[in-house]
Amino acid sequence: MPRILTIEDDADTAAEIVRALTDRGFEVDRASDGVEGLRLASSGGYDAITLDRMLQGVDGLALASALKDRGVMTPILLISALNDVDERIKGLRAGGDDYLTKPFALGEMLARVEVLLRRSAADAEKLLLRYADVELDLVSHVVRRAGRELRLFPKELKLLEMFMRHSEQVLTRTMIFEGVWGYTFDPGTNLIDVHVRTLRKKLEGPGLVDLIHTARGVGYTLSVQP
Amino acid sequence: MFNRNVARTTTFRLTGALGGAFALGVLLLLGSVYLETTQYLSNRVDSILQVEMQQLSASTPDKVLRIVREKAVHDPILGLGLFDPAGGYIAGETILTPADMPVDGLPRNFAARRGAPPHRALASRLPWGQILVVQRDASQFLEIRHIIIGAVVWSGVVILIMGALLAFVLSLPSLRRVQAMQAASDAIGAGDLGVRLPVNGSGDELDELAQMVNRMVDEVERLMTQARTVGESVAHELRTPLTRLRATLDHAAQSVDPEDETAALLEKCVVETDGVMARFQALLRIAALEARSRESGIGAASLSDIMEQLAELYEPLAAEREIVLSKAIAPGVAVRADGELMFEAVSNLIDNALKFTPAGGDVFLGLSMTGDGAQVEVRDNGQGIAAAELPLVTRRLFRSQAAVKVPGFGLGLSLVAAVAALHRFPLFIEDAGPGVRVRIVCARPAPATPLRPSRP
Repeated sequence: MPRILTIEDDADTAAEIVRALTDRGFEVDRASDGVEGLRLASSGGYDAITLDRMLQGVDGLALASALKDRGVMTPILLISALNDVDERIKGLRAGGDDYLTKPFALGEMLARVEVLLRRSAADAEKLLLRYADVELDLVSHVVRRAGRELRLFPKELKLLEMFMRHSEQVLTRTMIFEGVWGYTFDPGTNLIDVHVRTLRKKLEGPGLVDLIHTARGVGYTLSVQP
Repeated sequence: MFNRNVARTTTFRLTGALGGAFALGVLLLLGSVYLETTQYLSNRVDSILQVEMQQLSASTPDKVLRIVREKAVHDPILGLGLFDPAGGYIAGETILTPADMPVDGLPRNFAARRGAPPHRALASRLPWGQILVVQRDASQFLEIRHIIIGAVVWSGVVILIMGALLAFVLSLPSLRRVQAMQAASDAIGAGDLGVRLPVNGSGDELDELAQMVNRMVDEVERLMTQARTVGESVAHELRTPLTRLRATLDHAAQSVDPEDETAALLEKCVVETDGVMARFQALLRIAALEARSRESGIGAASLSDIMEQLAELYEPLAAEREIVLSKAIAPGVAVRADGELMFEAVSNLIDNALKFTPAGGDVFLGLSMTGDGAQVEVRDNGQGIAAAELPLVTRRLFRSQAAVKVPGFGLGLSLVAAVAALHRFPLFIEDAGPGVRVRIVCARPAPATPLRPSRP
């Protein structure tokens, strides 16, 4: 069972984060200040950390870079009230692995934590992706579903690649927009939906099960199970 | 350009005026020296001629004849000529004869002739009827006059040049100060409130003006900081409760039976809260853009790539709404801009255009090079914006009367305006009859000429 450390000084926000993570089946510890956070995180044994950017008295960025300096490779989700491209870049540079802006929906937070948990260097280098009956060759850009070759546009390929790299995980619209298009602002709900629908339609076929499912209110997931 | 600027400075004008007055004085002085000297010299020559004439008139004919023959005068450049009453030559060696002048005893000037230098001469009838011509070589006198004229002209020229040069040199420091002040004012105007006008401590009028402006900027900075701090703390205070509210609603929704009526109500609450959060995020984003130091994030941005990406991004959405998305994107257009923000701004424009254009309509994306710079254009042939509403559309939360049925918060164009303002790119929102045409001209207007107080 993955273990998560939540470093957050606001008791109510912390309680909700902890509850949401616990409900998802994770084991969660909470640190209410930077010192305790640093101590717990350094002791190791965690699979992911959620870290408030602005703790009482301590800068979350300083804490993140202190952890990386100590060789703690646990992925960190920075949660920040500062919503600016510059701040995001600073956060990621300081050692955060992902960046979430307050106020946020818990679904978004959970989806991002799960992606961090499953992230591994080996996966990122794979050039032939397979999930169920879908096969994506990133070198020749050939996509096959149940042996039949599909014609996809470059952005659709990237979208499918993102789904396949994170199969059976929920991807929110902002995560998809960040991952496929590289932009971090809120694209509005419809825009991403249309692209996902187009991809879903191309993956359809007689006798084939739907692979892309809607996670209501949160985003999408690639899975054989509905 | 620079010289014209120098000529406009107070120092230059003052020094110039003083130099001019001085030069005029010197010219007057030299002029009067010239006049007085030439007057004195010509009087002296005349009196020599007249005295000689008087002395000889008072003499006897024999004595006069002897003196003329022997040329027994003290002045080596004086010449005497004796003529009979009819003007016939008797003795002497004058160049001039009574035929050359009236015999009235008045001195006159005669130009150089027959290889002889210019002369001043007079002719008089002696008491016994003979005519005596007395002449004096005037070349020395003319030479002196020439020297004086030369002195006047050359010293005048030198004084004028020196004055202008001095005025120029004296004006340079004050011009540099004004230029430094102008650079500082431009920086302040561009949003860098940390900059102050240079003060050199001399306490002169420029210094006083600079100090006054600096006090004003201090006050503006204080107020801006205050406003921003209030805004930031309000925003921070609201973020956490909103996050909690959203989380609590999630929690509640999960705790009730999905079939229950309460579940539907909670779902509605979640949707509304998401709406509040999105609006709040958008407002904060615009505020952050407006508070941002102007230059950060600005680099070379390929507008052609951005526009092509946007066309690709919105194509499926347009197709789904049965809108034809056409484009004319010039290749290889790059400008100095924040690429991410330009992408976001134009995506807002396209989003708006698609929202306000009915099925079957057209949305056009354009990128072209115009005389003013690269121009991004998003045009639709939808319902358009009423003329009365055109000036209002970039206001925050403004929603057109005609847009009440279209989902949105009225923040899209505010964000576009904020991004354009950040880059100082002119933004035009126009009636395309039918529809709306929005243009962003991606070039900063040429900076106003330095030292001109008013801007067009």
